[in-house]
Amino acid sequence: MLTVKKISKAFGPTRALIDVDMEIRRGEIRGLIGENGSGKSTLASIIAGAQFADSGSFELKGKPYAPRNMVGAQNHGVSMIIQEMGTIPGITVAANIFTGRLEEFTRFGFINMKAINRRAAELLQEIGAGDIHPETLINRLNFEERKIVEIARAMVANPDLLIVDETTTALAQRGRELLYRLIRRLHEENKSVLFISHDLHELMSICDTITVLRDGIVIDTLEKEEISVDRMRSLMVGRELSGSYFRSDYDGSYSDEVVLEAKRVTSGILEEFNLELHKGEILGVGGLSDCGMHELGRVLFGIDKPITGSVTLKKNNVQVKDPHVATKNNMAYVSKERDREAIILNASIKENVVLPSHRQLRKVLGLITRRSETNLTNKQIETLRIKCRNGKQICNELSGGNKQKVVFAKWLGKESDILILDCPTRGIDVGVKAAMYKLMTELKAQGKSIVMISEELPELIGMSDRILLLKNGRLQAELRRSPDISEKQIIQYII
Amino acid sequence: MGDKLKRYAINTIKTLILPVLVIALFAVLTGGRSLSKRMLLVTARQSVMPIIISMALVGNLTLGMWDFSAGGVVLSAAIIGGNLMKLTNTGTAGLVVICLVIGVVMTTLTGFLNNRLRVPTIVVTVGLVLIYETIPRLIYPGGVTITAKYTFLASSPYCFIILAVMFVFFYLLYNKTAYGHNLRALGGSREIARSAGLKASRIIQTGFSISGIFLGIGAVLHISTNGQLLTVSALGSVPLIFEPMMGVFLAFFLSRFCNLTIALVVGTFTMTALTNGLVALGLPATMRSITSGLFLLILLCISGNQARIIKWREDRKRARMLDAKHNT
Ligand SMILES: Nc1ncnc2c1ncn2[C@@H]1O[C@H](COP(=O)(O)OP(=O)(O)OP(=O)(O)O)[C@@H](O)[C@H]1O
Ligand SMILES: [Mg+2]
Repeated sequence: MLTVKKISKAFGPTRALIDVDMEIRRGEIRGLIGENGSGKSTLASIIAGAQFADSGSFELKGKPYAPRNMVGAQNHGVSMIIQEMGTIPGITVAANIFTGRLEEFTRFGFINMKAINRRAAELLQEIGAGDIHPETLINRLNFEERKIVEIARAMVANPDLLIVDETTTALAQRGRELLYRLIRRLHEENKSVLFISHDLHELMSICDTITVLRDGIVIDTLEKEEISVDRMRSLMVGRELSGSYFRSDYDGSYSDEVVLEAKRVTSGILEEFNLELHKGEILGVGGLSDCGMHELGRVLFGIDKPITGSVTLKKNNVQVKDPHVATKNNMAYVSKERDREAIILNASIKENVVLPSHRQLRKVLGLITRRSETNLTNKQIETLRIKCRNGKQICNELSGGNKQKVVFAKWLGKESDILILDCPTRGIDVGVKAAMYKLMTELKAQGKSIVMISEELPELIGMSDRILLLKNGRLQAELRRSPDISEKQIIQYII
Repeated sequence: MGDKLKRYAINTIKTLILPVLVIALFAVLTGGRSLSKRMLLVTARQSVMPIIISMALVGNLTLGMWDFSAGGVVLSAAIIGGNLMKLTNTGTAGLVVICLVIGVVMTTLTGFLNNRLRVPTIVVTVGLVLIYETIPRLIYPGGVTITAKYTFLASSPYCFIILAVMFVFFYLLYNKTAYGHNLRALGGSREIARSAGLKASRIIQTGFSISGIFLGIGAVLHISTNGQLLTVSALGSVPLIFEPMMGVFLAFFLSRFCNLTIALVVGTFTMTALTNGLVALGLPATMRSITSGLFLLILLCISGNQARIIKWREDRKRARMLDAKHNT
């Protein structure tokens, strides 16, 4: 289907891709893996016409192929679901799906909105999201539904090659199944998929072959029978990783001291929810995407005011009324909607990292020295292995996973006591994920408390002292740390 | 179907409530004087030009760009157009054509510079307004006077016919062309719209050029209403776009209940009715400005927080219900 020949791409001094060769066959589902910043998104977006290579060429279905933009690529049969792209606010679902293609529906200069809506409805129906209405204003949809609209947008031109750049981590159960079904269908229709993900188990179960990138170089391509999680992991990182990934202990103990308490909290779907977070506890919160767990995170940090009940910091009996109170009392919050809520894209890594720590960095006369800022930033870049030129690089230029690391670094630098983490490891590669888990374990040992909201069941099972499972805004089950918890068991509670 | 009809009716009432309130208020304050048929007609007639100018502004505002030069374009098209009309002896038809051409040429230039200079639109247009004001001062320092014979377009019913034509034009442009939809997509998110293949600079350029059509017609109405116009300097033309600007703000608010085109008409008309009402009360110009400003502020405040107020009330209700359940 597609032959990639000697593609190279550099951003200033950063060499993102170096002489990449690759061949994707018809009907093949190709996985593309690599550490954060290894060049996966760059390669994908060059194939999809969103960026240009410095050198090299493509052949598509036997003919030379050099897309000038994404629409051009789509017309050749190549579509991409972009990592963290999002939808256009203020317009309808249908208008989002057909942005850039409206001219195809015009006659005598006038646009046929009816036809567009009809076509959008068909498309959504086809991918199994018939419940999303094309005329709805996109702002009315939740995060996952908007992501599904993006999938529909990629399917508009009926692609022969679909590129999926880390879409699954933004999706919960329903969206994932929808995407898997779609990929299977494409496979059956003898079309190809290039699938980028950091979830090695997921990759194993859906891909036929897997290409590994490291620092812009293709390291290896594994055929079906060669694929194993350990193999992928070591190829990506370039060294053997020790077996344990999550915490190895099954101790699950924590202090009796309650540090944060939510009492009868109601907000959105969440109804009269109670929660006690202890000193030195990692409290996992899981469920389907609309079960109320993301709302819970927001309420705990004071972003949303609860309709009933309250959130209290036990130590000095302060009510968490707004994020200001929360940060003042050493709380931290990592939002799921990274690019919208958690990071300032136009600012440098340093500016992002030091943002919540200004009070701590203050020296004589309340001034902050540049040196202390730089030191803090460099320490974080090192701990989390943020791939960048230096702390002054603008976050917009970072790869997806490295942006997420900046968000994490921001709060780590502040030495927070209570961390509310909503999908903290989203889009982060295995190596750094392991480092983050280790960090969390260390934080726990230091007596810090963590609420970890997650859609990744292995992570919940692997890291939590206690897991709260939510369904329709209510507590469905509470599980204690144990080696016996299985994903199956959890799914039974939350579905 | 009944539901749809009901919602439609409610939305219509919500759309019209503002102008009705404003008119009613002044009717009370003036002891019914402002309610006379003649006075209402005057207000309607006077709102035509600002409405058409608001149609010129709204496209750029959708993209978050302020065109401060619009007033300068209207004034210079009117002065140059009026003089050229006399010179070429082409009558009212000539006036319309010349004003349209000047309007489109000037806004096309604005759009071009805006795309090329890569400085914020507000900087570009503030610079340009000074230039656009100066051009007629250089060529026709005495301004322009046209004879009553050629000013009939500003009178009823002609001004309303013009409004109707521009209304239909704007409606089709905004709702029924790919351009209108692309504009809104671009206004929603430049980055995503671009990656979907929309050419931002082309859409911006088109938007500016089209705004020239509205400003050209605005110029015709401006000279026709006044008969005589003097040149201005130092941003003296900016007040021309105050009312339309406020009209656009109101329209963005009203567009929740009705189509944006209708919202523009209703919104700008409301602003004109307010100004006229204040004149009828005999308020001096400064007081009128203050009152209009306050009116807009209060209104936008209420509208901006309306959703929150509604949510707050619903939340209270839910809290009470939960509390009641909890206590039993
Ligand atoms: N616009 C840009 N300017 C400068 N550097 C860039 C730009 N885009 C990407 N890079 C750099 O190119 C490298 C590859 O980035 P890319 O986004 O392809 O990584 P990735 O493999 O997709 O990582 P992730 O798993 O985190 O999404 C990174 O070092 C990144 O910082
Ligand atoms: Mg990426």
